[in-house]
Amino acid sequence: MRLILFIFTLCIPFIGVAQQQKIRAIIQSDAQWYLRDEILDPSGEYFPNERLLGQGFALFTYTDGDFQAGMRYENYQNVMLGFPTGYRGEGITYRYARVRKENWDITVGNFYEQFGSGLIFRSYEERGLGLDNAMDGFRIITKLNGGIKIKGVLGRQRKYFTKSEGVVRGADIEWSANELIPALGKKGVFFSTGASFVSKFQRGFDPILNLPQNVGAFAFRTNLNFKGVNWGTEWAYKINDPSYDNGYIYRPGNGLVSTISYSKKGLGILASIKRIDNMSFRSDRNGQQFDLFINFLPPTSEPHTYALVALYPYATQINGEIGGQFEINYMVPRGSPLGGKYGTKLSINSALSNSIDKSVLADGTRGQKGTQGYISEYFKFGPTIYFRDLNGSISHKFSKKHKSQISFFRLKYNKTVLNDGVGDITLLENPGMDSVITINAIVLENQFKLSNGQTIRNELQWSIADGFRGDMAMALIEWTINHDLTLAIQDIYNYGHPTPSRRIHYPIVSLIHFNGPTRVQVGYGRQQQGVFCVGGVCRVVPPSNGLSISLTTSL
Amino acid sequence: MHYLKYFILFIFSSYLFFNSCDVIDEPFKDNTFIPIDTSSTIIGDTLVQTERAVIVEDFTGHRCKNCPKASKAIRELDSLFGSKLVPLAIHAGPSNFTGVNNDYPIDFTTQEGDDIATHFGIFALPMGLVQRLDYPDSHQKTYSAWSALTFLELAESPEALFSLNAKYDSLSRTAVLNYSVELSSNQTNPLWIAVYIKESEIIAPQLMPNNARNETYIHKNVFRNAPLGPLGNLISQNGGEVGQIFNGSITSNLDPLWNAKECEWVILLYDKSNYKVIQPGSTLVYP
Repeated sequence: MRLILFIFTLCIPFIGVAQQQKIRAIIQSDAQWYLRDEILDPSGEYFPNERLLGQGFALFTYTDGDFQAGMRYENYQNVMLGFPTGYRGEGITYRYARVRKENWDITVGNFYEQFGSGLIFRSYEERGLGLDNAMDGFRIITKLNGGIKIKGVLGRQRKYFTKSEGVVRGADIEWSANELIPALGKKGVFFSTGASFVSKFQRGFDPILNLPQNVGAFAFRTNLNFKGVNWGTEWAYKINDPSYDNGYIYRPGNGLVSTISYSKKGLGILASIKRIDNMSFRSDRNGQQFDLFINFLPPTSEPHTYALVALYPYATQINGEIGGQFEINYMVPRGSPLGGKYGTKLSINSALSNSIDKSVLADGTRGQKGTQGYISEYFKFGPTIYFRDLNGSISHKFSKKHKSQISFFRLKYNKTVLNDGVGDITLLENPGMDSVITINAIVLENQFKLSNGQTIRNELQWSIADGFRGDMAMALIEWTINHDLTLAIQDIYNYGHPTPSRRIHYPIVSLIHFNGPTRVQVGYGRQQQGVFCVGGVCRVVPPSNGLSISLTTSL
Repeated sequence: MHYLKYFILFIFSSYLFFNSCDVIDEPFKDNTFIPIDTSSTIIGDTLVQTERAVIVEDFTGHRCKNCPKASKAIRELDSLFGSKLVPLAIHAGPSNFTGVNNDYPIDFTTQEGDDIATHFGIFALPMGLVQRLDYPDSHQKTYSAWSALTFLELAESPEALFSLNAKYDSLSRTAVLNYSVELSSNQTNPLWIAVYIKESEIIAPQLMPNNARNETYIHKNVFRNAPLGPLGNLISQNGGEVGQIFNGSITSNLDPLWNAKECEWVILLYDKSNYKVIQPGSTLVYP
């Protein structure tokens, strides 16, 4: 830290001396003033004592030719509702120095990195979730002749304002065949393959168990692209890693993700499969929620953005899931009866996810601490439905000033697993206790350009569910007054909630102002209790009512 | 330079592969820990500690479905460490986990328990403190970490030892605890004593991990009150030296609904500068 501040201090007098020197800053600040809402939260259990909560950060980056250094200051006074409460206080949480010269790229301090699709290593930040598992250590990347790229990392991960006790070290090698054999590219073939290895070290103290202190994982991947077809596959394996997540079983983990896609003008097809078996990999075996994940298990379902459907998000099941996704996008040509003057876009997407097979061990136990946990047939589905999603949309532009989209959704959502967090082993021991909700929804979206340059966009949403949240309807109108100002008003009415006292409105008004790189948003209204997910990683959002302000700018 | 790169790569890869995987063939330790309780002796009607003890405070709630898992972790520790472990289950924290309704009618929460939870910033259940270590940054420990921390703490030499003598008048339901604590190590920071009463074997509903309601769940080590207040009293502003003895007496009237025979005194000697418990002790209210 002192070294980086020292480097900063040395560099500042020279800023502006040469054109290649540059300093940038990104600043964001969010605050919410919470109001007591006795309808939304009768007992006041979610109402914060502080009344006003705020958080923000400022990221400074200094670049001078091959050299780059940066630091991020974060401030939580106190952290806003729904974010991990480990964020409390203020400090410099991210600082680094990086040199890129010729074929070498060396970073000391904090860094984010990913091997392949992240099945065994991904260090990243997702600010909307409050997730940040930045590495603090050393990274080296080098390119060798023949299209070979090697990465090495060593360090400890961030945990709020502290660091993990465990050490993470890893290496990745990737070979791009086209650099060695340029003729492949001329024939339209692009091929690359890679392998990675990651190991964590954490001291093991347990009076009963022999805990592995060094836990290794490796992965292999390939990617082939030929005439519009792209096929990428990654397979990973992890040795015994007893942890809080898996109930301290000693079964090795493995994961497979394979995606094939085809695209040409007006048509896109994508199919993917995924199987995850005991692949929670953290630098602290006792970690919970999304603390200290070393790896990232990519989701194979479409993240929905429409509000009513987004209330039922899918969260990747790290202890085991099997499923896949299929999607077709087709643009009906212009001038055809369905395509009309501007063309019509059709889209269908389906996804499914189930538990994996987890049969009892020879001794009749399943999931018991200190055992191999269970036996699993590789492609056999388990009995628990996690998620089903069938959705489609028709998007049509009627004129230069009017376009519409109608979307339909049919979801099956295992509330017990995805909302309540009950594990599949518990469900296997208590068959029939889970609650799978069926949701049907339809959304109509219109956008009109007005003659004075203004834009009106509206959404009408309606969802019917056979339990949990019940039936809901929503209307939204968004008025872009000019380039700098947008006003949005929306209301969700949960008219069919199973509990009569929860059949309430959730109105929100927001005003967004842009001024160059600066964005200011002011909102007021009720926030519904739910789950917010990014990339299959989710956090719980508590109900709230109040005034929120958000400022983002860059210098 | 070319060959040097490959050589470094080979060395680095070999190191990672051969030294970074501990494959465990036998998960359970051979020398399975057999508890032999030598942590205290009874001299007359006084309990005299002879070994270090550890307190595990389990913040819990009867509507918290994962809390029975933490209770199970306590039972496992109890079977391993016997009276060297002082467990305390404090029903406090978010009201959706601890509140009363028709299905969970008994209110286990207390003002003192709430004050302790607030002081230590308990925001989620189940959550625990082991010897109140690592305050204020990382003192909240999930139950999966309790056994290792307890094991490590017990491996240390005792820093103080209690002698505890309890009296109980069943007519007036008045309980008295006479304590004497002798320092086994020099202490330089302010020393405080906290005293609590807990009750076990209470049969009342509990939400279980499978979302079922267990009507006959047995609640153990339930925090009942704190006669000296949630954080106790100062006994020495400047610590003390090896061999120094502090004596005291605490009186409390038991609530008529509490079963005196299932109640225990819990006493803590702690360092006020960081709240770390130097030595805990416990003894029956109704010996």
